[in-house]
Amino acid sequence: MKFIFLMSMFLIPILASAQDESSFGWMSWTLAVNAKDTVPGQWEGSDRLRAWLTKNSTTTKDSIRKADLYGSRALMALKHGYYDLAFADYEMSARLNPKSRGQVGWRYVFLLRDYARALAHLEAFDALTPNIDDPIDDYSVSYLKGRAQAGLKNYEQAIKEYTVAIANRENRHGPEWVDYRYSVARAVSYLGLRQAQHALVDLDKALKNNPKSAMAHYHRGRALQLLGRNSEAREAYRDALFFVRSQPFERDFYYEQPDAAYEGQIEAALQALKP
Amino acid sequence: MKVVRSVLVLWLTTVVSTGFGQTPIREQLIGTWIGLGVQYDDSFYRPYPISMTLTADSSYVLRLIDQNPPARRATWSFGNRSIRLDTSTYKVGQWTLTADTLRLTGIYPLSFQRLTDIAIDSVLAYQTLLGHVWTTDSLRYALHAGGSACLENTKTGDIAIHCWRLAKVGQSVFLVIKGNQQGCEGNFQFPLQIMQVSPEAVVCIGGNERGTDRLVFRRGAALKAGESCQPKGFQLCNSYAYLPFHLYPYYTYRRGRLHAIRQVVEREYKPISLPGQSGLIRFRFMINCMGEAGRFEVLEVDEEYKTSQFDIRITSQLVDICRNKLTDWEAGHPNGYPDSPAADTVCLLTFRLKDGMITEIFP
Repeated sequence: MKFIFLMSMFLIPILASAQDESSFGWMSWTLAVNAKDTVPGQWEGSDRLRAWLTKNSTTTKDSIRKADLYGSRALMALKHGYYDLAFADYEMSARLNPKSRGQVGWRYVFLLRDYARALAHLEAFDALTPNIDDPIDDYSVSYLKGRAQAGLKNYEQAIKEYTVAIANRENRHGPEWVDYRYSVARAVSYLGLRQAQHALVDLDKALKNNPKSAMAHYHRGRALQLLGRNSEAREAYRDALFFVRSQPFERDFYYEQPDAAYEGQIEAALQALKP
Repeated sequence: MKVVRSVLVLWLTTVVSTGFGQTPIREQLIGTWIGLGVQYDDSFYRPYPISMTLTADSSYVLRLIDQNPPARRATWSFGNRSIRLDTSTYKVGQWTLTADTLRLTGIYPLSFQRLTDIAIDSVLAYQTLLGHVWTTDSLRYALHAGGSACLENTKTGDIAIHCWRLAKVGQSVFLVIKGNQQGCEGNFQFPLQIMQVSPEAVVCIGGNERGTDRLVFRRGAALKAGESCQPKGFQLCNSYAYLPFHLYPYYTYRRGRLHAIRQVVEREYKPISLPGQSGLIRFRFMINCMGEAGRFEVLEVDEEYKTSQFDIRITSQLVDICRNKLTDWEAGHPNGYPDSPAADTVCLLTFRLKDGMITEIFP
């Protein structure tokens, strides 16, 4: 049932948009797909899905389920830019189920850039299991706390949090399994404190795990430049420029990586280093 | 007594669902059906310009309203209260037939109107319409030789470029408006069946989200020789873009993406330190398939995410930047697939402010 629901939310719109909605092929396809899938589509962002979520969130007695439904409705509102509605639903979700505060914090970090509020939720979530670096979707809570701290420019705190996230992965699976974005994030915080040598160590580790990362090369260039190693910095920027032009941009579906490097930014850095 | 009643109910059920009740519905289904619309959401419909013919000898013909020959020929049937169209079977509950309307429910509910075949001289209709401006209550149509059509919204003054042609279904003639500024394919508007033609007025019946409407086109000025369509205002490539399918937060702005946007804002925005002016100003807008931005909507919320209004000195600057300074958008691709053709997309651009100063810019 859940599979069918997910199908209708995500796959069918993708199939639909793969064809021109004015083509004969699409129109005859709708005739065929209708006969098989009898429930009117509840696409993400649709009035129908919103009505369904609203109805079920008010009728269900189970607070965990209720929190999930509020969370889903909030994400839908957030993606479509209705921040007032999203916020109200996220706060309700957090009140109903303390475990949902991790996900709420995640959304506030990346999709609302509300770092103080995100940190409050993430810390409350983390306090539920103090000695475990719990996962929240595809990130760890410590990494997200680090992101929130970095957003508040508390770089020392951010480094502490990133260190927990990195150490946890290193200890459990080995250094080659550390997400390169975690190493870049810590390096950028080191750069915020002008600790270029520490940053360089992290960026070298990041590049071991993802040699084609434009952002890792770019920030490595910054670290080298801070250390006065300008010819190596130039080389790092050139690598960054090559990868930013030849590789898919470093991003999630909904946001660019906070430490992402941009072509114009790299070009400006190279220009500034010209002898 | 109970047994007799049960037998009677069983007999009636059998008769209605097989022989006795089946014939009238089958007969009612025979004919040509014109697609009125496809429903994507409770209040969103888009045109479905299909002609579907169901004949007594069980042949089924499906085609786009303005295309000959038919794109699909197959068979149809009605039995066990199910309608089979080619290989697709609509069971009881998936279809409704009321008077002249056939609705097929499903993930994309469809509605059809039975064609009332009215013989219209298509040559006369074409000659009458050609080279003139025609006005309805809300639109002004300039129908040019060569097939281009300018549709002017009489309220906003915006002019959109399309193509026009007449299409025959049976003896009936439809005015088909489709295409966009890039060409004549796709982007169908709701087709209009011409009911009556006179030198001064053309009467049409057209489908829309409410069903069908009678439209009277009143003849206006003759178009000058060599006059062509000139667009005015923002035009989507897909007039009936359903926004949830076109959400594309990961847009491209020049090569620089957010970095380039931040640079433009940094250059253009004159910071004003105003204690208490904190929160988010969010722009939602569309980028059409040619990379032009339009249909801006603004949401302002304070730090507690309550809708509020920022100082006009802040919002007016940001509105100006978004509308007039950020002009190097690149057209988006559905679902972010770079290989898919460029399409209209919905984008967000949000500014976080603290005491009047911009602290973050994000999609």
